[in-house]
Amino acid sequence: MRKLFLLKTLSLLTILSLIIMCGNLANAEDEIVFWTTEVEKDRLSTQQNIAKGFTKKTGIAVRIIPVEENFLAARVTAAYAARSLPDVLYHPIDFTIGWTKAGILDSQSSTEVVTSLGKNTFSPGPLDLVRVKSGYAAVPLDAWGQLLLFRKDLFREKGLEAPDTWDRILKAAKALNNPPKMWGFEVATDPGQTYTQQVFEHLALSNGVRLAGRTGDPNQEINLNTPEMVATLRFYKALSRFTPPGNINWLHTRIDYLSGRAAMIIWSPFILDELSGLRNDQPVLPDIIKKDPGFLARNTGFVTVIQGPNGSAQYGQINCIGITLDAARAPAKQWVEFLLGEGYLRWLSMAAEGKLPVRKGTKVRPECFINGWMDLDFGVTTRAKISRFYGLSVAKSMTAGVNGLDRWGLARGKGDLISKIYGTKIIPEILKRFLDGELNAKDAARLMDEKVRALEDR
Amino acid sequence: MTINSKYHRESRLAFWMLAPTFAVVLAFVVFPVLWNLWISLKPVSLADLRGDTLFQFNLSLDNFQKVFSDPDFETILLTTLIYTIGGSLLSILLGLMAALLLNARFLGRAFLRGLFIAPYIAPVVAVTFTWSFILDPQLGVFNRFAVDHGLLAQPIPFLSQRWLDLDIMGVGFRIPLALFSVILFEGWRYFPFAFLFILARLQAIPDEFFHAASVDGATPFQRFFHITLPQLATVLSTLFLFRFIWTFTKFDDVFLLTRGQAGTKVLPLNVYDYAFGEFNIGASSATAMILFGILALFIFIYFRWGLRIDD
Repeated sequence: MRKLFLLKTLSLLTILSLIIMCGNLANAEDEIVFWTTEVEKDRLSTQQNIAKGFTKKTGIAVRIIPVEENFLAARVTAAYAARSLPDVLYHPIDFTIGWTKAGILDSQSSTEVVTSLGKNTFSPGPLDLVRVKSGYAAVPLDAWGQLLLFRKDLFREKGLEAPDTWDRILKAAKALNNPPKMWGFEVATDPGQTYTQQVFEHLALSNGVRLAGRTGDPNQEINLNTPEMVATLRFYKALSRFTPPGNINWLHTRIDYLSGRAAMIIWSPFILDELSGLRNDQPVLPDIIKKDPGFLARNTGFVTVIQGPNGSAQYGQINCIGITLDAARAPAKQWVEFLLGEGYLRWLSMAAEGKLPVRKGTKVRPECFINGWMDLDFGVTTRAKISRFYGLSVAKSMTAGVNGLDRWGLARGKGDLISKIYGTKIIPEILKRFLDGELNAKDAARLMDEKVRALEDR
Repeated sequence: MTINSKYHRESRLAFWMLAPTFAVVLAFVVFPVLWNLWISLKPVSLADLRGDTLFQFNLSLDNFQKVFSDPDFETILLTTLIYTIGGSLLSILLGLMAALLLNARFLGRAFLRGLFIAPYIAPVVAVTFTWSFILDPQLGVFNRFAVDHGLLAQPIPFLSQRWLDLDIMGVGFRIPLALFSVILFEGWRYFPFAFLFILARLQAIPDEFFHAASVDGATPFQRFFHITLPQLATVLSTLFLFRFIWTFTKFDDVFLLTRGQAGTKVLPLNVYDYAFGEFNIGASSATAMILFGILALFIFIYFRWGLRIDD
């Protein structure tokens, strides 16, 4: 009886350990694990193709694991605790600095990649944003700059100047506002959305509010309780009078602009394909009414850098590729270099309008990725070149803008706060209370300052 | 001697048969609670998840102090209680009404019973998305319909406005609109659960009771209050216990509907925000422990003084 029990236990243990060993064996082969937040089906197959090319060249297999961006923080936290981090991790810059400080990302590997690819082949702006003491926290891979879209035809009619300064924006919004047929300027007012933070941060940056310190001030303490912030809040509230009531988020502003009911909105360049009518599920009403495909696209102007009374800025999102501390370093570095080299244009082609090249070219051909990007197709249902719809100057100003993209806290030693601010959404929450009249501008600025400082305490 | 050894053998056997269950409970119930308690008493940030600091003996109440000193804590706790009690009672009330409706025999009863279960079995992501789309003030069908037919002067942002000022017959008062909507959703989504329990109990009440009451000349209301309700007392109080526990720890519904905005932030969302918004695992565990403590207290009180279990 007892022998039988022992025998059974032993055989079970053997089988179990065999299974575990097999698992380990599979891992021990030349394979690296790559987490990506580009989870859509066609984008995944593009990434598979890039990986196939890489495997053919180096013999290193890449296992691509899609992770929804919303769950990225939770997944990485769990994987870190369980010691099962991937080798390479594609992520928004919001997390880069915090994860490096926590010991998830390996800045040494990234720095080596940047050096080997050539520091000068990158746009210096994005590189500066990921700089840490020991080098670079991660390697910037692609970027987009937030755009202010406006109706050129309506501006012409009323003889208005392009809305690139606060005064011009306000003047135009007032002149064009004719609700409910036409809203002068739709800002984001939904307190639960990252979009609200992005629009607000764009305007705040344009008035020199930078989370920490002031423009040109070496003191880098959290500083949101300033006259510039109060002015930004008041400006935002003034704009919100030309916005429909309720909680306006990215979906509302896009639908209203594409159906010709908004004169100005702030959006990411991902709107460019819908705007040019390349998506069947999103009809562009002005085009249909005028029976003129491409009417709205041709009559949309873009402002990249907004100028406020105390500064000027363009908000941008930069996506980085990080190598973790658990990674098999040599193959992981090879994969990152491949993505920024031979696979780069294919990577950008996944969504050309929202993936601008951060690396301009190679050491030998310094502009090749910029020029290659100009030739990429975009669009979902139908595909076409960006320059065909918006002209070469728009495409050029978009790629040139990458160098000047700005964000709160980055390059000011507060990079680890970004993910906390975005994660807790405290800025949109307080902003909404201010817009609803629960708080006045000074109290709102003080409360934002207080709440962000509380995030920093630990 | 023989009896004794047989007794021993049997108790050994009993021990071995219980051992797997005991091991599972130990691994999946007792250990996580103790581990959570341990973490809640230590400063744990993202970087501490690895390495030996997790096992160092440096316990303090700092995390609890941080959670309690949050100026919004009282509001969040109050919201959680209103949400839990409101959602539980509403789902039971709706379930009771539905059960009474479908207790009688009529054509298509089986079909309707099946239909009534739908909210409970539909995937939560799908139903929250559908509801937030229906209720959207700009794009939603509900507001559009109500405004077009003169029922509303302007669209109401059900899920995104904190307060709604109402003026009914000269008396003005304000209701927490978003919280109210979320409670309504809770009632709608979980009434089938109560409905199933209550219906099963209803069908077990002997017809003789009602016949006897009719002979004595009892009205339908008297029959309901003096026969049906007392017969249902046990199942209703059990249901409240279950619904209270589950609603109190409910995370996904609120998260998907409002993300805790506009005065709907409940404690489970706080747990999430501490852990994955601020990467403060310690404070997150402390909040979870507070949640656990309040529930334990509630269950104690409920069993001691509340729950009636008739034989």
